[in-house]
Amino acid sequence: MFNLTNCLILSAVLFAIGAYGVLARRNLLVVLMSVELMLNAANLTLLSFSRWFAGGGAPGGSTALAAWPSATWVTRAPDAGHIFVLISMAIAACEVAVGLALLIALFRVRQTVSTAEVAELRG
Amino acid sequence: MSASDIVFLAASIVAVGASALVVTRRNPIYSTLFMMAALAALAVIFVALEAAFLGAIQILLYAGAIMVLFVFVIMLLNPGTQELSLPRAPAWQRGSAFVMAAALLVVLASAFYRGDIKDAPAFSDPTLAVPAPPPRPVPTLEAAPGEPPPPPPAEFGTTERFADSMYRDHLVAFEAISLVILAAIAGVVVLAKRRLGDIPASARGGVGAGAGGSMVGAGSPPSEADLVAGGAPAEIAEAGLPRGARDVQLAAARLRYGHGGPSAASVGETHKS
Repeated sequence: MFNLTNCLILSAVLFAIGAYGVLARRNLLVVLMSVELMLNAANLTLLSFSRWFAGGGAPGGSTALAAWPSATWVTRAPDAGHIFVLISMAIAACEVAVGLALLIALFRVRQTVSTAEVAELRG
Repeated sequence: MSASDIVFLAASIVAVGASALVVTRRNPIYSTLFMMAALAALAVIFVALEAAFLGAIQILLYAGAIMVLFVFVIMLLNPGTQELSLPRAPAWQRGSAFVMAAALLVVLASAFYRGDIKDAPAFSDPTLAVPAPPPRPVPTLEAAPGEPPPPPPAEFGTTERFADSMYRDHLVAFEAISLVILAAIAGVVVLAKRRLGDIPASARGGVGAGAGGSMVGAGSPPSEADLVAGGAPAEIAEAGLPRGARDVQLAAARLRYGHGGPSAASVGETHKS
């Protein structure tokens, strides 16, 4: 049950839910939250692969990793995925801060948080 | 079914259910609360994936900082209910969005079911046990060749190992992130300033809507002469508020700018910032 495939499937489901939120919702707050959800799904993928490669990948040694000539980074930095996730979290925090500041500026000018009412650049 | 399977299953159900509620609730406050639940469930999965430090960071940074920032912004905007809970998008938009998200899910899942990871053993499989990391050389100039190697770093995923990796191998990325955060801070301060340039009043939508009274009152502060003479300040008067609300605002303005208050210039400065 708790293996690489199911972790990746879970992250795919979360990513799809986030994509639906970005596409279907009009409230900018919820759109930002959906973007966060997609970022978290990507983080889950990174951590799953990090755990997988830290354990040596598939048993038997006949993995795609072993056939990958430039795979030495896995042995040199086995927790690089953790660093990726931390940096992605920092970027997500910056993105949310800037997005919410834009939201505040928009609300101050237009008194709305709806994407449907901010359509001046519509082609 | 082992204990880690049960934990993973429960956390997955919570994460997927809460995420589905995030994108379907009309009121964003509820979306924020369910988002916190989803993030907590994901933190549990992170811990199960031997990333305990990142699980803690997930709780602290996402649920503790980012989601609280969302709540702060919702409270700061203080919109009316009809402005906060927007009407749903038309059904054809929601349907096409669902179709596209489902297609994305199918593509991702089919990609994950191919190749060498198809029949992955469970993470609790002994063949996937995390080995002790090899000792690494100390990259200092003082490291004499005859010295014994430093003790091997601690286990995978712990804070010690994480810090070792971050400050030794990924120091440049770490410093670059601090620059990005600095730029974001500067951008946020500029964007969320009280006055965004000189926007003419005609370009502002819904000035007389009533619910935006607090936003409309953000113009220049009332002069002392106005307050002493008892006349209503122009901003409050033209906001079209009901009589009681206008009186409350006027009383608040008197308290703020009235007797013994700072001079008009300094009031303007503090009000602007």
